[in-house]
Amino acid sequence: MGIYKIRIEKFGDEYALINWPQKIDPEISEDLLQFDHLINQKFEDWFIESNTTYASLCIRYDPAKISFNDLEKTLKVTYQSFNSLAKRDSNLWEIPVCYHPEVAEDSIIFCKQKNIDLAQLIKWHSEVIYRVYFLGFLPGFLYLGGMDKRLELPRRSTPRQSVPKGAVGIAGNQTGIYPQVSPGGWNLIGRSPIELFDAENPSPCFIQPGDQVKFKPIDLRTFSEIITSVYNNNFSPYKLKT
Amino acid sequence: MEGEMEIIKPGLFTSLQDLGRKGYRHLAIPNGGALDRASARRVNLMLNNNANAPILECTQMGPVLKFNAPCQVAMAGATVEVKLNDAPINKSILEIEAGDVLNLQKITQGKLLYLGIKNGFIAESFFCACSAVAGLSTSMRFEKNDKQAYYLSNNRGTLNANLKSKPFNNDKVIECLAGPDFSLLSEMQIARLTETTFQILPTANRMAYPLKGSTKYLENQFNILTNPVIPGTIQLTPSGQLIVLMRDAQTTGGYPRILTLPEKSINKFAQLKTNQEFLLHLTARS
Repeated sequence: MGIYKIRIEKFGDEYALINWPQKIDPEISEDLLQFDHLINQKFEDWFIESNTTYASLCIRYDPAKISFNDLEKTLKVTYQSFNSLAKRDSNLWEIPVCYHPEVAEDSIIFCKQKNIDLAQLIKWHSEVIYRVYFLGFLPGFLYLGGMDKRLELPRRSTPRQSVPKGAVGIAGNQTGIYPQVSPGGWNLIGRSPIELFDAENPSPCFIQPGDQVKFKPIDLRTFSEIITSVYNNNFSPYKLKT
Repeated sequence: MEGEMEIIKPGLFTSLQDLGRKGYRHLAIPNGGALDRASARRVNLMLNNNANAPILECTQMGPVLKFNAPCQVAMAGATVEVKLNDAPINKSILEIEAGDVLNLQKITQGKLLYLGIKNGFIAESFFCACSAVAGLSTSMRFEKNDKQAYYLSNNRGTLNANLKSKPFNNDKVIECLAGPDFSLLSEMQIARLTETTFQILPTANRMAYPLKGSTKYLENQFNILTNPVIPGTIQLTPSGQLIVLMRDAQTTGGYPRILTLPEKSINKFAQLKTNQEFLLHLTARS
């Protein structure tokens, strides 16, 4: 039996939105990811695709195959008989991050604004384990939860035209990594040398919603060594546990 | 055998599109595809093509194109004063000969012109669609001197010659539905919203069309979680500005989603010119 009170609504002509209680909560996230997984496998006729956020699941369906009313009934019945207790497989990934000001544009000013030193920033940012809630914003951009409250800082008042690929940023209570060059307003406190999104790969993103990540501080030399091995295709992301 | 179309002049923003991708939203890859899907479908129907065959989407000022091999092309969407080898021609399906130059620069009504070619353009598929993705694709649009290959057919294929491009709908009302965060608005805000005259700002692109309008009454401090968005979602920023998300939109967003344009309205809205005035009309859900 589904444990949360969910609300289903029509969204445009070909999407249905399922809302869980609107909170950032690992248990809500786990429940909706498992339900999403079930929908993806169970309904081949009308199901086209889906995407998830912290507390919503957006299902794209084929209106020629099912009416919204029937879809809503089907989803309700499916959730009622759904058991989310079975834990899915999830991985804990180690992501190398260099916090050196040479590759982390805002790390000095960030520390000044927070009145901390670089060592403190590195410690607080890299000693926690983050949950990957979902992918959004840019192809392969991970929404991470669990950042140390002492690192919260509003986004920059003027966004940058171009944030480098791999940049690790902080905005409000969120931290994340830019998978490609993009405009952006986050405070850039680190840079990761690894590829988070590989368009050439059949599964372009090795990290999945529900996984966990931990940042591993690296120095400038290691940073450029990893850049080289990524370029030569002999870097594999390090799994701390399965 | 392939034919080749050369871009003599690229126009304002000309790109290759189809009906967009399916199956990659979970990786935050946008749907992409023709902004006015109805016109894109029409062009391929006129040519008896597969509905999803790649077509050219031309924005506001169309391109000048040169073909090196015979083909049949069709146009739909915006109204354009077509010139074939410098001579005006009033047809929406054309027989092209090797060396012909097609000038589509002067779009008179509407904003988006779709040009299809019998059997389709030859396009590389990127996550199962030919639409470019910002940040991942090397180029988003055609530049001067670019070349675009197309399939050649020996027999002149059957066409739906009677299928004319639809006459342009000039009424300036865009029908929309209540969005997922509509209930954040007050009665007063809803009432004023449907009376406000809007215009599309020139900064509009395939991801989002920001709107201009006197919407100080929509200033807010609404706070929602980052949530799914779709093409047609109308977001409300804290300053009270409305942003209409289009086909290349991100898959998630953090601004309240106050309204949603249904498919029909996205197609109609996509054809509104920058600075053209329009009203939003709220349709009750059936």
